[in-house]
Amino acid sequence: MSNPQSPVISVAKVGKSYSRSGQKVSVLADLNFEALSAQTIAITGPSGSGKSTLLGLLAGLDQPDQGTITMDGIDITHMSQADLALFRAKTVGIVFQQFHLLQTLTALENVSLPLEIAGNKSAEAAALSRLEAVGLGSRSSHLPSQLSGGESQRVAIARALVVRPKILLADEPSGNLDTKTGERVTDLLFDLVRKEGTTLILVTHNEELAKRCDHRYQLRDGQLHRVP
Amino acid sequence: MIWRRLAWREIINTPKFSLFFILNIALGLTGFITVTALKSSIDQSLSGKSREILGADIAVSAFRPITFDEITAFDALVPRGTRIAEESGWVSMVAAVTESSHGAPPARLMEIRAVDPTFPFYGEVAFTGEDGKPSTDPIFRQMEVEPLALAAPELYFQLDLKPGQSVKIGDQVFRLRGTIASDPSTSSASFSIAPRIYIGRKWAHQTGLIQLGSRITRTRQYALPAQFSEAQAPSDAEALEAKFKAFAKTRSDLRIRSHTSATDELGRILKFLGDYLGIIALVAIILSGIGGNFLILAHVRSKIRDLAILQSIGARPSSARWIIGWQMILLGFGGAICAVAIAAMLLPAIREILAPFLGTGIKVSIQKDSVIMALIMGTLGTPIAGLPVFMHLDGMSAATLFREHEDPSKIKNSRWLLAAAPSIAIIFGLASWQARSPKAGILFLVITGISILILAASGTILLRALAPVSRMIKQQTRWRSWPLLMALRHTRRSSQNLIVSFVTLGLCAALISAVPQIQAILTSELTSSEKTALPGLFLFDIQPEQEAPLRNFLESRNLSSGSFSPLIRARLDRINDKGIGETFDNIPGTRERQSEEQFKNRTYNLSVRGRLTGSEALAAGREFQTVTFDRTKQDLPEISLEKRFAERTGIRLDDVLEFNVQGVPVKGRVVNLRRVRWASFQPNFFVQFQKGVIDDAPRTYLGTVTETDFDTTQKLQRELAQSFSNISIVDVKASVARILSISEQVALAITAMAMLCLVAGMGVLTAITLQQSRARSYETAILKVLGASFREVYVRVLGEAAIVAFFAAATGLAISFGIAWVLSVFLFDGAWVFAAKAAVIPALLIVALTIFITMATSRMALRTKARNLLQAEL
Repeated sequence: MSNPQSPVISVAKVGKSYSRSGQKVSVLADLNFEALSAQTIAITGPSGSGKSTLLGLLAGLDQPDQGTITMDGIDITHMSQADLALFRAKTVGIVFQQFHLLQTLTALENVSLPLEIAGNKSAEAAALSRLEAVGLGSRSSHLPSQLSGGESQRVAIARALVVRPKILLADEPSGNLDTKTGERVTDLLFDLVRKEGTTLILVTHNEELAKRCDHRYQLRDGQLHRVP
Repeated sequence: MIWRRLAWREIINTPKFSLFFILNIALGLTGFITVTALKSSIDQSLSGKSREILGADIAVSAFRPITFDEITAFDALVPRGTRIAEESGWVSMVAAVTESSHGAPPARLMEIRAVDPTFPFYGEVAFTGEDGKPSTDPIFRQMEVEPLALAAPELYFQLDLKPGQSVKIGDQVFRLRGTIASDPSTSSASFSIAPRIYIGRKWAHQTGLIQLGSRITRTRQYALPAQFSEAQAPSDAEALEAKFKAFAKTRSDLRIRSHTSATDELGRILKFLGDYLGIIALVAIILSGIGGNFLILAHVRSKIRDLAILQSIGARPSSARWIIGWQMILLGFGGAICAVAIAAMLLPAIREILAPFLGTGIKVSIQKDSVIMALIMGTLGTPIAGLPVFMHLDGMSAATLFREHEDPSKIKNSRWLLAAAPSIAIIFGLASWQARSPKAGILFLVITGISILILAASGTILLRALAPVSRMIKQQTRWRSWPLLMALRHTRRSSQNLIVSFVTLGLCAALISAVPQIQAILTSELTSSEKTALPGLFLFDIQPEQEAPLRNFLESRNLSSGSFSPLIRARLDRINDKGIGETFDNIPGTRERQSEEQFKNRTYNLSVRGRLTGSEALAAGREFQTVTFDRTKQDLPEISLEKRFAERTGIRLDDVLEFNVQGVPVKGRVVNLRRVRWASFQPNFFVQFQKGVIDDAPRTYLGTVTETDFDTTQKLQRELAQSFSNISIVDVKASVARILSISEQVALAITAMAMLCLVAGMGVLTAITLQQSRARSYETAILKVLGASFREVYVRVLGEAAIVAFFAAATGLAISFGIAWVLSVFLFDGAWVFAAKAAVIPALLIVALTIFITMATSRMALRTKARNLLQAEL
């Protein structure tokens, strides 16, 4: 397992391309990148630069064409789908721009779901405590359709952090929220991440938000460039 | 298990969808359970009736004594405990025994049946005793001890006799012990040439009429032990019949019949009803399958994003699929349970409706087999039917969740056909099980498969062919309307996506429209168009010189006589110039005996008719070229054969038959095979010649007298017997009424089931259309946001729905004619009728229903705030 000095995320010579209308489009090429434990890292870049593709690869939801990705000391590049699922359940939390809550489950059920998947017996109690931590204890029985955008994103954050993951991947967490709500949500996110020592990879267009991270990278021409 | 729990939560949290899904499954399975229960009751009723008609499970008969060797061989084939009886039957004069010594006593031609004391094995001959009251005396046992007789009412009317008096048959005098009130073995549309009289077989020889050369039918009857004669196992009698026939293969003068093969036209029509119900059950299941699959497809598509989310939080792809799998299992099980409950509630009402036809003793109850089958189909069949949809999930990538403009539900998978294989196997299995024949299973599968292929092909062609229409509208400024153009463009450009809806709607239309066509085919068989001319009496043996006086006799009493049909006795000698006696070489006995048996087996009553009558329909070939044979134009006279007679004898179209008509050889060519409509009750003959061929041959006539009231009939019989003593009079009024009543009940049952199928089909269609309309609500919201008016959105949405529904229903309608034709040829004796009206109405209903539901849902979508709709879509 990792120590504070060894990288929690290590991406080496990763390449990814897609076929669009019969033409091969290279999105990521020979990409290298490392993140240490408890670091917060922002990745910015224009639309279509490959930010989402990179997040998908880090989450193990997609596989690179070349290169290796090591997360928490484990090479996930050639892992089976079942092992990847287990890996995600224990190690990675994800916050999406569009929240992606299950519409038929209540806030509490949404948050407890990752714990249930991991086989946790006291999932509900842990989920409720996490929901209280994001200030939504009183909305636990509400369905996503009964929640505001900010509340939905807070539930999504609670869901992402409920398993106490080592790595949190956040894709424009405030992108669908107004400025004030967005700020409140990101404050909460940074607060929780720092409190728990989670490594945060934050993809955003928002330069102000990016500046709040320990390190900033820009994704350009398929590679990450450090922003001073 | 978490997935089961999640599936359950999902069901609870989406009550509308769950209820809708359960209802759809329940609708199809209710149809299946109800129809199976009915089919089973009808099978049971048919089985019971057919045994009563034959009086046994299996019977061997011949116009000669059945030899000791044959008896030994047949008896060895039946299981231990089988009851055996014998019977002799012939037609003879029965004379009244009167005190008067003036002249010969009056006599009538009667059909004599000499039976054993155990007669009948099945059913009961009801009779009134000497006191005129219904009697329960063991009459056939009494006949063993005394020379007693039980006679049809005609004998009493025509000879002016009363029970208690005596009649003489040959040398033996019999005391008339009672009057037959009802005889199950006469539940037939073919009537004997004389009224019936029963005597004890012991006394048959005393009459002196059973001699060498007498035309006497000897029958050996077998009643299988109870465990064999269960209604559910008619196949045992059929299997035994096959064994009997294998033994009698070289003895063509032996006639082997099991109760299933011996049933007459009534049995045939009940068998048709059974097959028809089998089809209805299958149609209900397939419609439910289509609806279920459509709902599953739509549901899974809407859930793919959720599944991707689950994967992103650590669920395995296979585990996530279990949620939908469990949902299908739980909802399918719920649907099956509901179906059993609904069927249990419906059956008492159906039993009431069908009581007159099935009889009060017959139970219409839910069959254990069909309940188990329904539970299996609901619980396992639902996820199996959804397999092609699950295959879609293989192509899903949870990574698309990070891409704003990609929808994880828009995935393609070409292996769906492989996943459809289990569903195809299930349909095949069910079809075979319902029809008790793999052939029928294959037939149904082929029909469904071909229909799907035709629909897919024609859907692709038709929807793409909308391009010129779209161009035309675009050019015509007067008609130009963007909503209509958009509807046309979208329909054309999304033809790949719309093809599933097209095939689904089209298949529904094809199946739903085929059912009333089959109903029309069967009801046309059952319903008599000549109700006003139903016969009351059949008159046999009318001599040519009696024709005119008889007509005058009837007219003077204001009675209508139908047409008198000539009846010419002839022997079939050659088929295509080949002597058919060669095929009878194996008849045991002397050459004279062989010749005699051959004659009996090849002697037919020919008749003469210029054209087919209203009760006949051409099954193959053509009508006679001319009404009267024209030697200058035709090389041979033309012959029309009754279809099933031709099948029995192996005679085909264009065969040249040579008959020996009183020593004169008469040749003719078979130019058509005709089906005789069962319920017409008009005189009909196996072999009919063109006019002008055998017109001069010695003949008698068969006449009918239209039905009258009881007193008139009774009086008429007496007067006819006095004035035309040689004419044999058979009262068919009671039989005709009974058979007509049964046929009307069957027609009612058939219509009721067609309606049930139509309702089930429309229910499924509602589910499909609702789903389609919901899919369009997102577009509706966008159009609304863009400033489209209510009317414009309406035109656009309705335009697309109407185009797809119209073309799909039209193609389905065309296919339905093919389905009805194939089924009528293979299952219903080729009795196809072009029932355009019956077919078009359901097709129009489908289009109307689709438009109506689309209108209603579009209205709902238009009332909803666009923001909400767009959010729901996200």
